[in-house]
Amino acid sequence: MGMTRLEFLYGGRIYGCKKCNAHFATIENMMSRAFQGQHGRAYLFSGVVNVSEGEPNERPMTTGLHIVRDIFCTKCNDQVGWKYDRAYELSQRYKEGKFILEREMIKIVD
Amino acid sequence: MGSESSQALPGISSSIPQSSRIRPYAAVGPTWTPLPRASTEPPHKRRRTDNFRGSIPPFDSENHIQATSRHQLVGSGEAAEAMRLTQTDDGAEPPSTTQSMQDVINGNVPCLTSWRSIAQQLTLNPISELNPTMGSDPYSSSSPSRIMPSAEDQFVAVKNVHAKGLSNGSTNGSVTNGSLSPRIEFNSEHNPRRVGTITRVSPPGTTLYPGSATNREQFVRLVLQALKDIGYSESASVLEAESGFSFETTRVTAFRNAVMEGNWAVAQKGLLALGVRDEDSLRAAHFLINQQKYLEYLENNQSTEALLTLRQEIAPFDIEPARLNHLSSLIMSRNPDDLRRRASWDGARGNSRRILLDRLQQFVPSSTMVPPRRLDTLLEQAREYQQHMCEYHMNPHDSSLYHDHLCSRAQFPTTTTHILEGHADEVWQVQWSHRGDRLASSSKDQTVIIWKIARVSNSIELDCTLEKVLRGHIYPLNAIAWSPDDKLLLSSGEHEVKLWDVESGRCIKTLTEHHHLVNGLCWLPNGEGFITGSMDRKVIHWDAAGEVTLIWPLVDIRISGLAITPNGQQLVAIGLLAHPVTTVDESGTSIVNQATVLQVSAGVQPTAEPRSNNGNSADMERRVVLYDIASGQELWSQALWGELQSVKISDDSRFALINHSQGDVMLWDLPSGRLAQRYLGRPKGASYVRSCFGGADSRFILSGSDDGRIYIWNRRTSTLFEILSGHESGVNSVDWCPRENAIFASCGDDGTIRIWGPEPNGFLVDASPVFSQDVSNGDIHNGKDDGVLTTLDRHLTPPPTTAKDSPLR
Repeated sequence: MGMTRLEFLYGGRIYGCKKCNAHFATIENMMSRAFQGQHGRAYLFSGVVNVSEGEPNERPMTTGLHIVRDIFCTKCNDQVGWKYDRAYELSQRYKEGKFILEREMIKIVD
Repeated sequence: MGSESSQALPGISSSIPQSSRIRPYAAVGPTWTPLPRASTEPPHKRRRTDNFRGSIPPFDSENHIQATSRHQLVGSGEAAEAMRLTQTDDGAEPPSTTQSMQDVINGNVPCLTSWRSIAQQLTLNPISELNPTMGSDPYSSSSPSRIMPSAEDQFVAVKNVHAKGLSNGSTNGSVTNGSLSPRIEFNSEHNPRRVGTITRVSPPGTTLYPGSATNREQFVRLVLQALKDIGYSESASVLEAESGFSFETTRVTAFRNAVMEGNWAVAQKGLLALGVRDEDSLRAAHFLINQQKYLEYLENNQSTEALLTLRQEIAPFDIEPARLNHLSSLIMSRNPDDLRRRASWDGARGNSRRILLDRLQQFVPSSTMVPPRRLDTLLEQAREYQQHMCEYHMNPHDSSLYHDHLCSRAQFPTTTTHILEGHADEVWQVQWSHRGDRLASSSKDQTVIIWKIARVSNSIELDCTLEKVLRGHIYPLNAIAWSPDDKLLLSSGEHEVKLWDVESGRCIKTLTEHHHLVNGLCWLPNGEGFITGSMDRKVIHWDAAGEVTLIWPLVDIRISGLAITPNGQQLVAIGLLAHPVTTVDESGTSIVNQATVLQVSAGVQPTAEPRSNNGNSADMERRVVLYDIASGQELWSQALWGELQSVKISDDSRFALINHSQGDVMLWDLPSGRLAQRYLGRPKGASYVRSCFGGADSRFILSGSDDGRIYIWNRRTSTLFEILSGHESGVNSVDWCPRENAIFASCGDDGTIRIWGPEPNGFLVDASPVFSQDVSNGDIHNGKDDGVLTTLDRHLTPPPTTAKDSPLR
């Protein structure tokens, strides 16, 4: 492999891992700020980088039953949020394939 | 074919194919090929065949001089008679005749009795000119009858050819135009020792051999120069007489003598006579002469004459005022020694006159005055050319005029001699220490291992031991760098940089100034500090203790590689552009266009309009940037597409070697900012692969590759001449040993490090030790296994081989 590989983004504002500064997503990819995670506020992004996905499991959330996978920072392996695989309710379908990053685990990076 | 000249320089004659020596020549008469027998039997034929038919020796390099000397005058009945007499020990000649002739040819003290005897014999001969080419070729395998033409026809032929060109024997058809060398018919009056005459030998045509491109006159004059320089003046005069060419005209000799004797007026007049016409050259030449004259007056304490020279002859010449001032100031010198020192001048009795002559010679046309040491210069060029063309060049000292220099592949490192195992995961970089006695390797397993590589005394074996394991990083290791004195080692894992003391293996300091991956670690060549560059766009200067001394303002690129030129002045950085140009302005257009041309040929299409991306930085712009270290200024930057993986700088601080994800390895010329060379052959790859320069004069480029093979190119011609297999998966880094000249190291994703060297001799079945270290337990074994000689498949498409299982070859 030759080197650890991280993606670097550019855009107006870049959100990255609080612990290790790895880039996750830019503000252009942010879809909503109105989510709640285990640690408080969370944001919905259409695309994130430098995360690895865990196993899918069913989880009941305030908005209903979903299949989600936890996502982890590739550099420091902290859990930073989750990804929606499937939503059982029609109104929640828009979340499928999108990512949640918890506000507690990310910060603005350069 | 001048057999004289072929003996003086045997190398030349041996390279001429045999067929060209006897070639039909459509000239006046069949002068180059033997004539068919005339109807009348020549009177001396039988005697001649008695002598020569049986006595053509096979070509023997020791004796061939002897052999050809016997055949020199073949072709003429009387001459043959003379030869026969000289060869056999008849009482008529001193028994050492042939020996002495050999001496003459070899350049020893010439014995002239032989010449005299032959000359005497020749005067019996009605023909004063000889054609030595006929049949004097001992190497020819043609039948004796061809070699010995009939004497009568020989006479006829000779008469025909030379009668046409001759007018009283003073000029001859081989005079080349423009030459000032006079023709010397006989030189008996020049040298009183030579009683007999040296007869001129004039083969037809103007080239050295038939079909050769070398002009005979030019060649002879160069040989004359060489003979005179060595001191073989007798040989030189004989050659002048025999060839009819002279080394230089009397005018040139007069000029040369005038300069060497300090006869400046004559010298200055001589300049014009020699053909220096151009105003600027004349002025420069006159200035040089006057300067020498002035200095010599000063040295001799003739200050009035010196002043006169200065005022009237130097000053009006419109030279730079600084120079004029310096010359004037030399009047103040207290004594000649002081003068010599201040003027950096050798003195009239030293080399200064010869140096002056050399400098003046540059203004004279080279055909008039042959440049000094010209033949040696040409041979030097030939030598350099051969070394340049030598593909596996490892041994610069093997150089002889007798054969072309060519190093064999057997001296080039093509086999794995050692496999070092100690890492638990992929090994990403290897680097030799500057002294070449240690190897540092860094790995994904978060450790650095230092190996000691030593040569077992008096053998070609290397002894490789694991010396230290440096633990402490919490991330995989990205870069390592030895300090110039090899006492300290820097290593970086993600954003952490650690400074280690090599002797103790202890981590001196952990530097956390960066917050993104640090991939650029380089020491300043004076060892006073180092520079780090990171993906966070910071370039930081540190001192040798690990304290920050300077932080640059943020640079435009996220640095993925950094290298400092060995002269310590410039910094090359490669990286990803952090904020691409979104508007296509003037400069943006030109950058895109330039880079586009480069990259389209490599198969990468640049994005037309970079916008906020979806995390696909493979399409984002990369840059190579050259900075001046002292000022921090960007000297130039070049945009490229496709990831730039590693950068290394050549020893002359002039070129940067950059690996590209498209597979090619690029060589950039730093002063001009242009791509100088590109080495193709590797497949595309996303891994960060490091390449290196190799060979004593950096004539090889080596690189690993994702396909597990090591590619080696000739740097100048960019020919891929070796592909070495052995690693079981991608090779991440190669490094050439700075001390040994035929060893390099490589490391790969299979967790091993390999040392490569030349193929061992067939009968040397010695095992190369394979070291297996269990790093995680901390105990280090230094035992040799029952070693396996690992050799490698050198075919270009190898079957996969496991290192330990390959058979002994």
